[in-house]
Amino acid sequence: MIKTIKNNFLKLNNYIRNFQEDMKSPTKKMVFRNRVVNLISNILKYVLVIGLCFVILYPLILQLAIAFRSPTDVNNPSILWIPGEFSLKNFEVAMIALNYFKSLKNTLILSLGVTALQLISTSLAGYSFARLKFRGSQVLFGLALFTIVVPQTVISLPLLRSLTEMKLVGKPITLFMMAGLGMGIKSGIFIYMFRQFYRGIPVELEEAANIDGANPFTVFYRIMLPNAKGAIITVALLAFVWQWNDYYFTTLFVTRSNLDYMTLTTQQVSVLYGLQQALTDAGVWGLMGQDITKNPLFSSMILNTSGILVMMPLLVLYFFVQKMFVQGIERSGIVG
Amino acid sequence: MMKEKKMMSQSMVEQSIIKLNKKKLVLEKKFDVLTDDYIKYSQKEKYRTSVRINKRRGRLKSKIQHVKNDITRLENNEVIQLNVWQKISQIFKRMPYNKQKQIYGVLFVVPWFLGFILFFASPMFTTIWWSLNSMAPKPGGGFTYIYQGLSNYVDLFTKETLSGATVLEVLTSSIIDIVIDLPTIIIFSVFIAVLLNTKFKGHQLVKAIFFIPVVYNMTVINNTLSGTFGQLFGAELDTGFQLSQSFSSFLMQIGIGGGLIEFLMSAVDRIFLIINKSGIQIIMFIAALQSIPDHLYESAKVEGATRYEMFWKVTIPMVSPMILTCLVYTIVDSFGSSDIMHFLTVNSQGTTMATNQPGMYSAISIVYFLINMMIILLGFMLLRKKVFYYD
Repeated sequence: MIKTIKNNFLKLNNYIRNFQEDMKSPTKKMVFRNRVVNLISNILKYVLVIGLCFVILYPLILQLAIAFRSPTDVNNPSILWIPGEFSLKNFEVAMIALNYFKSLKNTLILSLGVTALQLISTSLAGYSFARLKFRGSQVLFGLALFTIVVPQTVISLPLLRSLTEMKLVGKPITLFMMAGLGMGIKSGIFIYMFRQFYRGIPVELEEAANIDGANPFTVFYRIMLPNAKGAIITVALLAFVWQWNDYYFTTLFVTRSNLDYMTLTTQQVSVLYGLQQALTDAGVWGLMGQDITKNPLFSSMILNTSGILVMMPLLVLYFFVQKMFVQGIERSGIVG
Repeated sequence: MMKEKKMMSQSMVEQSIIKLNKKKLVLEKKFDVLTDDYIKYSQKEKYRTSVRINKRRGRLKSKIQHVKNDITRLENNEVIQLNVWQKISQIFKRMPYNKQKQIYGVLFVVPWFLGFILFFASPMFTTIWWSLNSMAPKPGGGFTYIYQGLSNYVDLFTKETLSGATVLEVLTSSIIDIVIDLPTIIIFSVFIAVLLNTKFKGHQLVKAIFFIPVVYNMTVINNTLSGTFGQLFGAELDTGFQLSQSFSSFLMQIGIGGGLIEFLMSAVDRIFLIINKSGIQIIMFIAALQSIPDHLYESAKVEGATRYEMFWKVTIPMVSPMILTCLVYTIVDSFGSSDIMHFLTVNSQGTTMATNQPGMYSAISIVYFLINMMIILLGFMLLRKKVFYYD
């Protein structure tokens, strides 16, 4: 017993002596220092990253935890995170209140259409500003940047009025038109992104294609677009998400005067007003008991669940596209 | 595809042959003149002019050849009358590539330009016009206009209030918000971008998590939560931060002063907002970081630079153009969530401003826009000299 301890002690002593000798040579000292610095910075990095990830995921987890709580447990203070009774009742009620499948269909139609049209118009304009310079194109690009800076409220009121005169309000075609003509949600930013991206593609590619007899459109279609995959994915995802989450434009131009085109986001804002009506309509009223709808906590629970329902398709989509999206950003090289 | 292949009538063919022959004669005369000139100048050893003339000669020669070809084709009856599109495409194909590019440039911009005129420029000018008018809704629909000059703007700063606060107060508070948020968001997103750009275990997953705020719409959820039931839900959210409370009490027990704790807690509270606001900025900075060529870092390493030095001397200058872009984006992004928006929905009398006082509405939005422009310009002026362009 004592022998082994003594042995170990000797080993340790040896080790320390070796270490001290090592430290005398500058290269070994450097290597050791680097290793320690690396270790510490790695630990710091992981702590930071995990902490920030937690901050991002925290509301999501909280929302999920609340959503699965059974309505009868609303006032139960002992339940904080894990629901005492696992129930999908909240989801049922929220789906009814949101008019889920119809709104989902509307949202999908609007978002997909707007995304496609935005992609076409902004990529064309961006390419023109990047490569097909003509007299005055610099001025036009300046105007395109100017559209980014002006807030929507400045133009929305006269625009609404002139659109009402043209009898275009209340139809999704208004949004499609705006997207197709490069004036959709934050189109200016997309034009800018595309321009920066196309500027980064080497001119030699274009010249080579030209020598082989391609006209500018063929160059754009056959050479630039396939190379611009990263930028296209980034812009498409952003356009889709921004249209999905848009409340301002969609209410103003479509849903305020035409309730048939309620999207998920616009429904979600008005979910509370329709809650009681929805409950009676669906015949769930009896199941819940009357007093529960008067409980503000119950309402906020439903709101929270409807929030999850609104975001769920987007999150699923993001989960699938995420890898391409991240790679797209890294390759897109959008530099100012 | 239907292609019209009409044979030309005999008389037309003859006429055009005569025309082309005349044209050919004229061209050949010109050609002869040019040839004479060319010989003359080259004998005088004025090579520059002679070369220029020779070029023109070459062009004329090919033109004459075209005409000759046309004549032979006409004589052999091989001619097909082209429809309009074919003619245009033929003209287009004969253009030099540079001109083709310009034409396509205009074509590609046309849809955007149409949209710009229809959905941007004209409403913008209308807003400016409205802001100079006192407007009241007419009973039959539409508005009565009374030109007032700048009195809307004066009223805006002297009379209008929103739940007790004057416009000036609301404006200053929202501007202070922007001014505080701007540097925090930009520094934070540069920092996170640098962090995410290194390869460590699980960096794919971390990146995916960090871009969730881009997808996940916090603003709408915040809007719903700030309604009647918002406070109760907010209370529920707060229970989760018991962790931070216990942490702060722990710090108290150790004996760290209250000021530091307050600062830490406010930073923790704010970090959530800042992360949610800086999704796009992080994306932009990661893209910028990726485009920094590796050889810069390699040469810095050879020169014996530490990582800290490399960050300040290589990374920051290389991403500095992006800082400007992010500055603009952050300010633009804060338009929507600004307090001033509440002015636009409900005014002091409790009626909606958009329908009853469009003049005032326009004045507010233009003032807000101008102030934001000023912040952007200020940022530009401050950063312009620091920005480094690597070309």
